Amino acid sequence: MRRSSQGDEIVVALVANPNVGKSTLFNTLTGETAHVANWPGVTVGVNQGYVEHHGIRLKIVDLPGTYGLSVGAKQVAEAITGEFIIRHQPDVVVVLADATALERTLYMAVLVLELTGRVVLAVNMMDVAQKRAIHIDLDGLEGGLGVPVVGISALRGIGLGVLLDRILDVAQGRAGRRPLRVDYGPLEPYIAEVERLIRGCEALSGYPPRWAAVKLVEGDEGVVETLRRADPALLKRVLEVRGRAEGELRAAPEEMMVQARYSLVSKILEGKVKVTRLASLGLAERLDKIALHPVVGPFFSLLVLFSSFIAVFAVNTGSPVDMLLDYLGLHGAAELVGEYSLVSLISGLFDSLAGLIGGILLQSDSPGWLASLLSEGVVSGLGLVLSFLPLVFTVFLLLGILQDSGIMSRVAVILDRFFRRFGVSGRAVFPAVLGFGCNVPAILATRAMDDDRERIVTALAAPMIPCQARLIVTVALAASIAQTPAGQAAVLVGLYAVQVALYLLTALVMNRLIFKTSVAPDLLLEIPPYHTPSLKVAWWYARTNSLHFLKKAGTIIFGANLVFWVLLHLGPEGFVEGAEIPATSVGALLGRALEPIGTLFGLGDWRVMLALISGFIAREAVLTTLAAVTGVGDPLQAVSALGLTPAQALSLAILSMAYTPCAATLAVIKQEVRLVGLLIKQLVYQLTVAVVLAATVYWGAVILGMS
Amino acid sequence: MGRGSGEGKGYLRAVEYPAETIGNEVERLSGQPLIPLSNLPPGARAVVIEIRAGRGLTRRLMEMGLLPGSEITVLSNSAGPLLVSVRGVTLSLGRGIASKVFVQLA
Repeated sequence: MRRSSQGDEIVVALVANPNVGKSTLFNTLTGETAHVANWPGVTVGVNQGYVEHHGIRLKIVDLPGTYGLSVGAKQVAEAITGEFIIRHQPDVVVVLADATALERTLYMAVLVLELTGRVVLAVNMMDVAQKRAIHIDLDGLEGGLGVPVVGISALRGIGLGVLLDRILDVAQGRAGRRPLRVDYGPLEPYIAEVERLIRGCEALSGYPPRWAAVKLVEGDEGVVETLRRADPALLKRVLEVRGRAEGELRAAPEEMMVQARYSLVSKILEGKVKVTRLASLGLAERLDKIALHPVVGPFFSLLVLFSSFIAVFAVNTGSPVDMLLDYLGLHGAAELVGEYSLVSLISGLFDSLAGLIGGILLQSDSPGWLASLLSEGVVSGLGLVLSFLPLVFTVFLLLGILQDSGIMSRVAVILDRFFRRFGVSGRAVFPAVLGFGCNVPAILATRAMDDDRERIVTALAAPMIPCQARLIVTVALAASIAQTPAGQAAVLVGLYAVQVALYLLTALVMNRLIFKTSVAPDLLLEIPPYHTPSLKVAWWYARTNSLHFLKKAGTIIFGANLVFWVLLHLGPEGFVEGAEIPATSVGALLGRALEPIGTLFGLGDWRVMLALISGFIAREAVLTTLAAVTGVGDPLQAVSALGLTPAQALSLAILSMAYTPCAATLAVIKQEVRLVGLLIKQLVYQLTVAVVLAATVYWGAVILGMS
Repeated sequence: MGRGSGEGKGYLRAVEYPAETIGNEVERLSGQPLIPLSNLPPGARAVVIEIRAGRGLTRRLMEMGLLPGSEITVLSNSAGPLLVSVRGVTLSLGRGIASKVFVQLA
């Protein structure tokens, strides 16, 4: 083997448009061997895995779904795909086409064939095509393209053996062709001229000359940028040729080129596709009548989203199912649901582990601080990180299913109108819904947005959505705010409404502040037909994202927990401990120092301020800290032990809802946004909003006589 | 409506050009007016004649299968984004984008 083959390994790249089933094919082929790998020159990690066929190991590289092919530094799917094919010269490129939309998906094959002839065309969804009475002459197609063509169904695992056979044929030189030379008609003289100009240009020597010339005449940003950096004078001459082509032919060259490729596709497809009868789409069509109805659609979408997420959160944290059971008077059942939720099982496990380790160390001769550090600092920190994991994993599993089934893009379309008022498109609905469970997956979900501005704005606004931890704190405080259950429920609903409004307003404010605009990016996306989601794909999607979360955010949460241990257990006199949080610890001193700020919103009490600081690690820590400083075990009793007036309790509830995102959330914002300046702005902004809101409500309540 | 018309980078400005171009002529029915896609009612069938958008957007639309000569069917067009069927796929286009795609009724 030559090229990028490593030893006897054959490197196979998978290329396709989005929604063609590339992930399904990749997962079916590679199974458990799939992992994220870094290739030199490719800026993001790509998925890769192995499959063995006839004793030969094939390394399958899953390149991101794309509509075009380019190169250059910009981290977009088309650049990653182009760079990979050019730089790493895979032995075989498998282009995946969709049997139900062959014309559109064959365009990608033409783009790839212009670069390399070592291609196998896999026509996916042959089973669906058959149902719709679409007949495709695969042999004729193979004759027209000059490379192997295989009909498959990635979801059902049909045709994969033949696909692997044909991959080996190309890898071992039994099939394949020279790169395809698309006839660009009247543009040809200009392409030839550019090809002559760039001959000998060092910066472009890595690219096939004809291809580079085509891309330059096409005005491809990546190639233009590469040449600009290397030789601006040469670029000027190249662009002069392009300008001349545009003027003389009275047309934009890039449009003529896309046209030329499409006409080639039509020519190749001529007579190869037959539809024997008009397919009735039946269920899918009827479903879309509801899902995409201008009036009913939004409600339908919200119903689907919320019922899915309630199910996920019930499995993980017990709520809101336990609260509902409690409300219905089934207290025993409610407790059971809460206790056997994944999160409480994990935290319970780690609590006992921490206790065990602490106990063992205390019995031995080791110093008290070590036992405390190990049990409270290290083990409970690990527990904290791991207790997020099931939530993150299941949320991504669900997200994967919703995406793969085609529901997600419909939801984005139907809610677009509403979200546009706040300078974001319908895609902003996903982070919002996820955020009610946990802000961490919400921010991770912004990755699916391809507009950079929208992605950043949504990630910065997402922490305004109240997560489950904040719900727990607010529920505990509700009893101190209102006497009757109805009043408490009203307080909760009111606070939620305020937070949702803050999410939307924050999106608008961030758009105005950072990007000086409030025009929402226009939606442009493909709506895939409904299909049975592949559990394998969803599982793998969830696994990859969870591991990513563990590595990046996990370290920060763990570190923050350690820092907080130091705050509580170290003071001017060294290590301190006790049943209550020692008044001489650094944390207590910090709480005291913050008392003056607390008086702004009626909470000039160091214990409350310390609780708020701890809420930065994880929001539910507000309650555990309150329990510790008051010396009362139960959080609910701890709140009443503080003796807060209703106005004070309301102020604290608002603060716990709105003030800074927790450490885990900040960690993922940093991971996703990658701009520390923005992160700081977000922090200052959210703190200010929370303080102003709490102060206004507190003093308003005092004036109204609620103290 | 002209949002995004400034999208083209300075060095490569898209110029206005007639739809009948050398090399890739799009048949234009005489007497049929050019209308923006965003004005079509649901169920309407039309042929794309011209895309008057910045370079990046035009190219993306064309790569997604929406290019001069493409036959399209409007699936839905109410207040939100449009749904359009083209070459066997369904695309959702924001109104701003749809107003830059000019078509003739088939």
